[in-house]
Amino acid sequence: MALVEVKNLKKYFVNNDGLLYKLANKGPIKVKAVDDVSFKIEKEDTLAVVGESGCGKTTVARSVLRLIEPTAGEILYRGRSINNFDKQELKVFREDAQMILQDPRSSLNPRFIVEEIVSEPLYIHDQIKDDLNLLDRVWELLDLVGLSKRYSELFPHELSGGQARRVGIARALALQPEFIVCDEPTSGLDISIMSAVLNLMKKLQQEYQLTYLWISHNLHEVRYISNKVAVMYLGKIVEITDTDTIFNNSVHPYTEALFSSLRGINDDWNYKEREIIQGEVPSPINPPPGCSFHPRCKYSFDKCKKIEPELKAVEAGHLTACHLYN
Amino acid sequence: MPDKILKINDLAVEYRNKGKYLRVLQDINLELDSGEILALVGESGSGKSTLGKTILRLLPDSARIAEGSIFFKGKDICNLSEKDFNDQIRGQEMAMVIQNPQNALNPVFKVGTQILDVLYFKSKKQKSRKELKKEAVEILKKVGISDPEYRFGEYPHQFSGGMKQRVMLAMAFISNPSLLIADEPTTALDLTVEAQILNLLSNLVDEYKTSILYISHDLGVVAGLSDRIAVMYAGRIVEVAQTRELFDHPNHPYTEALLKCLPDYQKTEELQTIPGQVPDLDNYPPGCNFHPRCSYSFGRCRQEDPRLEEIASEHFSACFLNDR
Ligand SMILES: Nc1ncnc2c1ncn2[C@@H]1O[C@H](COP(=O)(O)OP(=O)(O)OP(=O)(O)O)[C@@H](O)[C@H]1O
Ligand SMILES: Nc1ncnc2c1ncn2[C@@H]1O[C@H](COP(=O)(O)OP(=O)(O)OP(=O)(O)O)[C@@H](O)[C@H]1O
Ligand code: SF4
Ligand code: SF4
Ligand SMILES: [Mg+2]
Ligand SMILES: [Mg+2]
Repeated sequence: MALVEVKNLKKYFVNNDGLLYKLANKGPIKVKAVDDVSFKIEKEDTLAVVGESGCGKTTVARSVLRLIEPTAGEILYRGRSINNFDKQELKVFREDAQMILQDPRSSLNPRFIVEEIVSEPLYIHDQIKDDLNLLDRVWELLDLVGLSKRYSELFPHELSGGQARRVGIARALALQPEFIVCDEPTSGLDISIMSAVLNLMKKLQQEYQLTYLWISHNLHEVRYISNKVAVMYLGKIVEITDTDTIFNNSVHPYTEALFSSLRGINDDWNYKEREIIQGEVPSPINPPPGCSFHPRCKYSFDKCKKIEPELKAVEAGHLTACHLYN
Repeated sequence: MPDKILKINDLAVEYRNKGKYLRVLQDINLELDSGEILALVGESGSGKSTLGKTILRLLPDSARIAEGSIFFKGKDICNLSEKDFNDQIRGQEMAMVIQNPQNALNPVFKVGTQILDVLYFKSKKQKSRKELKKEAVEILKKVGISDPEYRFGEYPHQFSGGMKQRVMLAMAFISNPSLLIADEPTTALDLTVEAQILNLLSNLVDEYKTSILYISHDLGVVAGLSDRIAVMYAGRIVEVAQTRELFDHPNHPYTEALLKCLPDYQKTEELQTIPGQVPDLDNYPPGCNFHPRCSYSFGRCRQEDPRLEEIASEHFSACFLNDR
């Protein structure tokens, strides 16, 4: 049984105000942030989710942890639907599954010092045996992310961007979760500390059999940390397979465009050689008919404009949604 | 010789913490030409954002400039009154994209309203908001935001992380400053959207000779975008050089160690890090700040502070190895 299974998840953000839009569109506006997404995460796997800014990654992440209610679809955790969890089950789930938020500061209460922020989950979940050991535990967690004891006494506004991010990571680790949703956990860290955090997360995964859902724009990081990759475009998964295949034999035209800009360390670096995907930025309110990538796809043909491609296997364990392959 | 748009001399900045002032920036000397992109890279917590905020007077009350001066277009801006600074400099001559868009956008106002405010201010209150709305929508489109008319009426929390970041950039573009300080402005963007934004930035430089202080951890971006790079470690600038030169001939041991940490998608073994911990702000080691972690350190490093010195043409480094 997969640890996490997402079935036909949809999340539409509905906007009821703005009279003009109601009239113009004959009804409330729906931002289709996530539109029919399904995937599984096996225990001890790391599924990386990559895709264009605004394509719905964070919305998937928040749905999986039941931080927002889906419009449709189901999320199973150990085979049980998280939306049917009773109070006790939800409490256990809130302990076992943690999130490292994309925006580090929004998770840090500005009135608390770091010590309180990191130990708060322990209080909420009654995991404190005595207060003396508590501070030791906080120091230990901070040390894991490369912050000295001094930081336990600081307020969030006294932290640099990268320090705040690391406090968020320490907090997520406090309850020793088995499943962590990491939303761009290393953005804003210098490469040495980023590498240390990645090494740490990998070590913890191996030691404690952790499972990760990992959102990142850094493809080097994706390569290092994940064993499965899902590529999203405009609220949908367009390709999903194991990490080696994505890097070496990807098939979807959007994946190709996204990964084309990847450079190795010895290659000449220059963002100017990156492929900029031409054409109108897609709208999640009125997605293009057929394949939603077609207005920007250099391979698009007639069928693409009319019929939406389904996510289908091109080989065992490698799915893509593109008419070129069906 | 082109005019220096920014000149920072021997700057030192301190934060008050439990009644004591702690030095976050020390001996900062930096110059920026007009139309130049200078990248500021370095350890997390080394003071990059503090330096940006000092230039634009965005430091909290608990901070003070302890030493040094900042000249902008030949004028000492540290001595300007708050009013003069706001009237003459902020938002017109200089703008900053701050590191955390969450904090920069006001959660209670619609995104469009916040962009309009900048435009309205820019037009010196001459144009009506209605006229300006078209411009605002246009600029949202330019930074790659879909359904710009609709998005105009949304609140910041309805935007994704990367969309907020692009709104911040859009507002900076509008004010069309002579000096733009961009603090990690593309961390939440995927490679393709990022490339599009970087193009907008370089166009700004080509068209208006805008100078940019670009703070980033992404050496791949910095390599393609910047003319020069300044590397910071524990409150000091430890190396400055032309971009190519810095990558080809890093001089300072910290720079060298940093470049070794670059992740490579072609390899999957354990990633390299710089061993040891960054020194605490309230407990800097005597001598060179990097010595506890430096694999080359020797006697003198534990006693004296190395100063930034020219070691090759336009290549500066603060390390005693160069004296040996
Ligand atoms: N609370 C909300 N209310 C309304 N719309 C929202 C809300 N949260 C997200 N959206 C919209 O849903 C879409 C997907 O947003 P999401 O944050 O999931 O993107 P993302 O893939 O994480 O992007 P990024 O890489 O920029 O963080 C966007 O169009 C966004 O505007
Ligand atoms: N308001 C403040 N009060 C006290 N200390 C502060 C304050 N703001 C920042 N600091 C401290 O000053 C140092 C420099 O912070 P700064 O934000 O300038 O770092 P940075 O180089 O931008 O780091 P990052 O790459 O992580 O964003 C850090 O050690 C930080 O903890
Ligand atoms: S279905 Fe057509 S438009 Fe869509 S990605 Fe495939 S080729 Fe391109
Ligand atoms: S001065 Fe000494 S300790 Fe400092 S970087 Fe140079 S060799 Fe290393
Ligand atoms: Mg996101
Ligand atoms: Mg910073």
